Amino acid sequence: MASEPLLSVDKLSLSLSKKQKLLNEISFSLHQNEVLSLVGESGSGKSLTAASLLQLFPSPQIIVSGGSIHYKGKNLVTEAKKELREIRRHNMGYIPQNPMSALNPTLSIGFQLREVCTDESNLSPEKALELVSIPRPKELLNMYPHELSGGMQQRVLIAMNLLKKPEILIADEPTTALDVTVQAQILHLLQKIKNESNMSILFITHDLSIVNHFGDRVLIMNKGEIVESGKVQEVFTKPSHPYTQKLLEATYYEF
Amino acid sequence: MCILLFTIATLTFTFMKTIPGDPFQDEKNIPEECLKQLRQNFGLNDPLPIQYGRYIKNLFLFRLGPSLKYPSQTVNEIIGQNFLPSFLLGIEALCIALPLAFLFALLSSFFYRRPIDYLFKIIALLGISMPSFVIATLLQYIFAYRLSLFPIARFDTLSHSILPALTLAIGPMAILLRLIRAQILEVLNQPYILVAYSKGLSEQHIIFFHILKNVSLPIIHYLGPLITRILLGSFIVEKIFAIPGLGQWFVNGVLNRDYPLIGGLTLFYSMTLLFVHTGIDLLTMFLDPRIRKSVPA
Amino acid sequence: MFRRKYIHPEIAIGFVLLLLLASFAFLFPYLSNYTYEQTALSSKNLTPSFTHIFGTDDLGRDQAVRIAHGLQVSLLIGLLAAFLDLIIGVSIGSLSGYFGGLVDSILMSITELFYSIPFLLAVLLVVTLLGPGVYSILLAMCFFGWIQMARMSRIEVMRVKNSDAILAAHAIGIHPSRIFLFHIFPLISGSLITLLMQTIPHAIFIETFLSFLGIGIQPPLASLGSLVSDGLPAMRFYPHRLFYPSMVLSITIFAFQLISDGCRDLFDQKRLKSVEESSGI
Repeated sequence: MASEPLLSVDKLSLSLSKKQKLLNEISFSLHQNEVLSLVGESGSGKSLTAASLLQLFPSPQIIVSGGSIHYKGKNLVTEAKKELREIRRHNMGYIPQNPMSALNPTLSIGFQLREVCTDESNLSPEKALELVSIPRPKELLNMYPHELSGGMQQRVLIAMNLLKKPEILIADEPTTALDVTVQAQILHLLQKIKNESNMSILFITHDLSIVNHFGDRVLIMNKGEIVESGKVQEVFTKPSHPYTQKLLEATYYEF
Repeated sequence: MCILLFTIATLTFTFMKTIPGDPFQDEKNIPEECLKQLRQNFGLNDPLPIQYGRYIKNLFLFRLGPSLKYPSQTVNEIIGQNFLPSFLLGIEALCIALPLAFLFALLSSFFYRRPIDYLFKIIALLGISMPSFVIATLLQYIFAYRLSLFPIARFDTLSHSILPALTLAIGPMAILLRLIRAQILEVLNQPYILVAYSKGLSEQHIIFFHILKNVSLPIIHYLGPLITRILLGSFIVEKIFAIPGLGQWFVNGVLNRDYPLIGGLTLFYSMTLLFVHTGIDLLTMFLDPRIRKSVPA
Repeated sequence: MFRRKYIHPEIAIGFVLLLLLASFAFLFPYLSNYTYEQTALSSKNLTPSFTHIFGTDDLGRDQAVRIAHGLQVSLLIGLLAAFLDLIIGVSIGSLSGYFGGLVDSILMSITELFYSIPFLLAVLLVVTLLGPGVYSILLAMCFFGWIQMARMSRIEVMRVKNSDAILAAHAIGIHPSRIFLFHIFPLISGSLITLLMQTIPHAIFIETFLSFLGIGIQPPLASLGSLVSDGLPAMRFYPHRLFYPSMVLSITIFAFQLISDGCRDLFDQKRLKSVEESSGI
């Protein structure tokens, strides 16, 4: 693991039209080939943090009121739209929470996969589908999202990200909407991909057991702030913040 | 669909026959024997079931009978000769309303809650508030009379058709504008739009393939009632702009109590609308992969 | 539902407009020196002035009073028709939605049948056959206008029927008719009010349309539609006869549309999360 972070967020603040503060001076860094878990309950600001990295906010009224995000020598907060678009196209991947509504219902799977293909990737959509263990990938290319199961849809979304070989993969609760057995498969898949391509993953979840299993470092968020951060083992065995302690007590697993 | 047509025809017949008096009651100068003879000729003295049977048979053969006011022409002929201007006007109105509505809705939603959005919102509200005859007369007054940009009435050249088509188009355009805008805003909130942006696709690509494609489907569904509106709106527009189309005939038929004409035209309109609705349903089925796939090949 | 800290601006403006229009329609005739049928051939076609605020028509009748009367007629007919539609439609629709089964199927087929007949066409036909006049218009509109109300209330009742609140009421043992009146209706009233605010301007529009064509209100009674129709041939020389009725008509419908838009925002607030709320997660 290189000591120089791949991406660093520095005192980032997000607010809703200058009134309500959504994120309060968030700071963290993401290193190469690590899985950084972002944990918190609903409303803690996890998804907004992910949105900030992509600079794609759900409403035009959400604005960055302070701080910066440094990536490849650029500040994502102040970058021009065109630059951001290039970064999204090649360097960042995104897996959303609910796979069903993450695929355009009126376009075929093949079309949506081909949208991603950049020149540097030497993967064809079919190959990508194979890599995510989808049987009969050729048939799937002509099918439509509503014909697939949740697990398959999520695999397709992962395949989409494979096609562009991003440095950073942002996974926003990718397994929350899936059955437990499928969850395990998807996690396994993500692990495999990460190992094979040196990717960093920002893994957002509210499930501590997944963090324990899958993450290298963890960030605990509450009410728009990062209350604790560190290596997973350390945080789970010796939590320093009361909120972390409460979280750990509330789960039934032993760490 | 056939049941519907049948029912409409029967209802029209019932309506026509339940009203006391017959089509000839307004004629004052005809002696009694002639009236009797006329009634005999038109079969109005036959028992009702026979009249009904004859009516249905004629409809089946699409023989709509002679008009009462203009006995030298059958309703068929009237329809045939005058249907074209109305049809052209309708198409023109659609060609104005649809693209404008889409354009304005896109602009409105992309500048959400900023001045342009509010401007279009007000335009849309005005468009649905002003009845077509108000819009028609206003347009006539401002553009034809005062500014002399367009001719006031009649239907001889292309520029003659612009004002009436515009009148016909404004109401539906306003309604469409609001619908499309609401639909765009709903689509914009969907995760797949976020995914599309995260793929780094260009704005145009996203607008066309992701936003418009998903917006269009429910809008096509609304096209049916929209065409209905345009078709029926033509009544007033044709009257005001003195356009020799079917709408004007319908209105005059109504004013003259020309029952065969009214009946025949009603049937004609209903049939046209039914065809249009069915066509649109088929179109939706064809375009929406969700529906297309559920219909066995 | 009513615990808002501020009143929706659209509803407020619409309401104020309506209040102004209604006061004009009902109070102005008493304040004016003229009546709507009083002719004065010496003062034909006068342009608006101090004595005649909106001018006069070709028989010397004061336009302002006529417009006020026309507005009265349009408003009353519109409101009456809409309310009758409401009563008929909601009764049929909610019963259909509540009981479901055979009752629902029968009522639905009837509704579908009516639905496929274009409203304007049907009303036009009926008024033609019954002869012009206020009562035929009302009859025609109510005969076909209840459909939308019925559909809406049916869907709403079906939506609410299985909600937890209603199930709880049943569980406590409240009598079904009481549940219907005091529990279900308040829940669906929001959508119904919104629809009502749409139906009224629609009814006004139909009435003016018919009057414009000449088969609606008959002279010497005036409706806004017939006033516009009278003003049309005089457009070249006396535009005020066209302009003022049109303007009053448009503003009236505009006011109702504003209110209906505001109502829609207001009552949908419960179901659709605003962007501000959903962005926090």
